[in-house]
Amino acid sequence: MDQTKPVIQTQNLSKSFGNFHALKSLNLTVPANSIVGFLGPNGAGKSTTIKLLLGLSKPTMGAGSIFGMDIEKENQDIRRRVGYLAQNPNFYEHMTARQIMDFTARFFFKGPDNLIQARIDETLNLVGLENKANRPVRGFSGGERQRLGIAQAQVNYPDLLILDEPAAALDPQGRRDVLEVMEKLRKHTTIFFSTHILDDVQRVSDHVIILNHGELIAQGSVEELLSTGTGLNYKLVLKGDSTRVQKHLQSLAWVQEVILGHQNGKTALTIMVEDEISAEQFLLREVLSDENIRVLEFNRNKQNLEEFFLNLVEGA
Amino acid sequence: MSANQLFQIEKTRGWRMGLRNLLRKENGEWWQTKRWWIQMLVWLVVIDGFLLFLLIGVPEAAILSGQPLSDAEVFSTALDALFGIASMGIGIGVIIATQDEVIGEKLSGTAAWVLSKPSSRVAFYLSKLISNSFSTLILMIGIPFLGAFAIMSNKNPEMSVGGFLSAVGALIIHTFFYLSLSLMVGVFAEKRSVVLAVTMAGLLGGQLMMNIIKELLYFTPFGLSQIMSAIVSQGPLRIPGELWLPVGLTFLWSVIFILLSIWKIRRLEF
Repeated sequence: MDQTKPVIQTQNLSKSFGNFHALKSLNLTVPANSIVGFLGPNGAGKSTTIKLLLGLSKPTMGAGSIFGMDIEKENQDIRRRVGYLAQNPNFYEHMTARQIMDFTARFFFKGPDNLIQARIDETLNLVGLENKANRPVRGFSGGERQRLGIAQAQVNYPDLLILDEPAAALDPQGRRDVLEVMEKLRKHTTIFFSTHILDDVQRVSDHVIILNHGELIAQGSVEELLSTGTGLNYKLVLKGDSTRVQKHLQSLAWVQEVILGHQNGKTALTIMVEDEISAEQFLLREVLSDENIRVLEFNRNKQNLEEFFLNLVEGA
Repeated sequence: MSANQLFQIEKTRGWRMGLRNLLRKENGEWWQTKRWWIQMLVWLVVIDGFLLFLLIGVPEAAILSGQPLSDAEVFSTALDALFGIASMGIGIGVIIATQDEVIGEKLSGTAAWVLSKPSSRVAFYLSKLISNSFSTLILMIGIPFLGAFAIMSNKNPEMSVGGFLSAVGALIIHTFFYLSLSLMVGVFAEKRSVVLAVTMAGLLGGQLMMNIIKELLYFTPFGLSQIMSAIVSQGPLRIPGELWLPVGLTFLWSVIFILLSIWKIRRLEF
C-alpha cells in the first residue's frame, strides 16, 4: 500500500432521502496509517457516510475512493481489504463466537483450515474473548459483542478498519477495553471510527473529521485543530503574594495580558503571550525570580476537544 | 500476526462472490442443528400419519355408517386428501420457515454486516433460495412422500409410479412458488407482518378466490392440489392438456419472483 496516498477520499459525496439531505458535498481525506475519529452529534451523517463508503448505500451525487478504488464501481475489491464493525452489531445469535469468526474468515480465505483456526484464535485473543469462543453469541453482553465485532472486522488483517460507534453504549470498562484494542491495532492498519464520545477521540486519534447536519465542518490532526482559535496562553498556580509577579509579567514586551484568579486559596494566573519561544524560554524563570513565590502548577493551556467541538457545532 | 500471504485467498468475483460461504452457513442452519429432524418428524406425522389414519379410519367409519366404501373409493379419497393436505400444509410450512429469512436480516442488520464482507447481494439472496429449496424438498416433500408412496402403492399396487412422481413434481412446483414468493416479499417489504400477510393471503385467499373466479385455476397455483390427484388417478398423459398449464405457469411465476427479487436486492439500501 502506498503510504503517502490517502486511504479514503471523497469528492462532494452527497446522499439524500427524498427531501432530506443526510450528507451534503462531503470532501474528506483519511491519511494512511492513522487513527481517524469521525465526530459528530447523533444524526450528523456519520453512519450514512460509512454505508456509502462500503457500498451498502449509493450516493445521490459525488464520488469517493478507498485505496484509490471507486466506492461504487470497485466495491467488491475494496471490501476484500476492509474490516467493518457496524453500530449495534448484530450477529447470528445461535452461532458461537468461533463460528461467527469462521463464517467471516471464509469470505476472505479458502484455507488452509489450520491457519484459519489459528487466525481466529489469535484475533479472539486480541480482544480477550478466548475463553468465550465456544459460547453462543446470544449470551454475550454489549461489551463482548462489541469486542467480537472488532475481532471479526480484524480477521482478514484489513488495510482499513471502519468502526461505527465502537464504544457507544458501553460502560467505562468496556470503553477502555475497546480503545485499548484500537491502540493495539494502530501499527497494523488505518482505523476510521465514528463516535460522538469526544474523550475517546482525544485519547486515541491522530486525526479528526467533524460532521454536523451532513456537512464537514473541520478536519485535520488533533494538534492542529486544538491549537486554532485559542490564542497562546499559560496557566500558573502560585502560593504567596503574587502582586509583584503579576506587575512584573505585565511589563514584559511579549506578554499581552495577565488575568488574575483564585483557586482554593491560591493564586491562579492566566498569561496571554504573543511570542511562544520567549514564553517557553523565560516565563517560568521570570516568575521564579521572585523568591517569595512558590510555583505549584505551570502548564500551557490548550483548548480541549470538547470545547472545540461544541464551539464548532453550536456555532454552526 | 501471521501474514495473509500464507492463506489460500478466496478470489471469486461478481454475483458468485461469497456464495459458497453463504450456502455453507444457510445449509448449516438446516442440517447442523436440530431443525432437520424436527421438520422431518413433523412432516412424517402430518403427511404419512394423516394418510394412515385416513386409510384405516375412513373405511371403518363407512362400515359403521352402513355405507361401506370400495377399495377404489377409499384410494381416491385418500389421494385427494393427501395432495390437498400436503399442498396446503407444506405451503404454510414453507411460508413459516422462510418468512423471516430476508426481512429478518434486513431489520436486524445482519444483512448489512454480511454484505460489508466480500459477498454479493445476489449470492446473499441465492444462498437462501437454494438452501431453503433443497432442504424443503428433502424434509417436507422427499422423505414424507417416500413413505406416502409406500403406503399408497401398498393400498393399490396398480398405482402408476410415473403418475405419482408427476404429481409430486407438481407439488414441488407449488411449494417452490410460495417459497420464492415469501423470499421476494421479504426483499421488497420493510415490515415482517407484510411478508406473512401477503404470502398467507396468497395461499389461503387464493383458494377462496378460485371459488369465485374459476379461470384462476389455469393461471395460478390455487387449484394445483386437485390437478395433482387427477394426475395420479388418471395418469399424467391422460389428463386434459390444459391442466398442465397452471403447473407450467406456476413455475413461470416462481422464475419471475426470483428475477424480481434479484433486481430489487441489487438496488436495496442497507
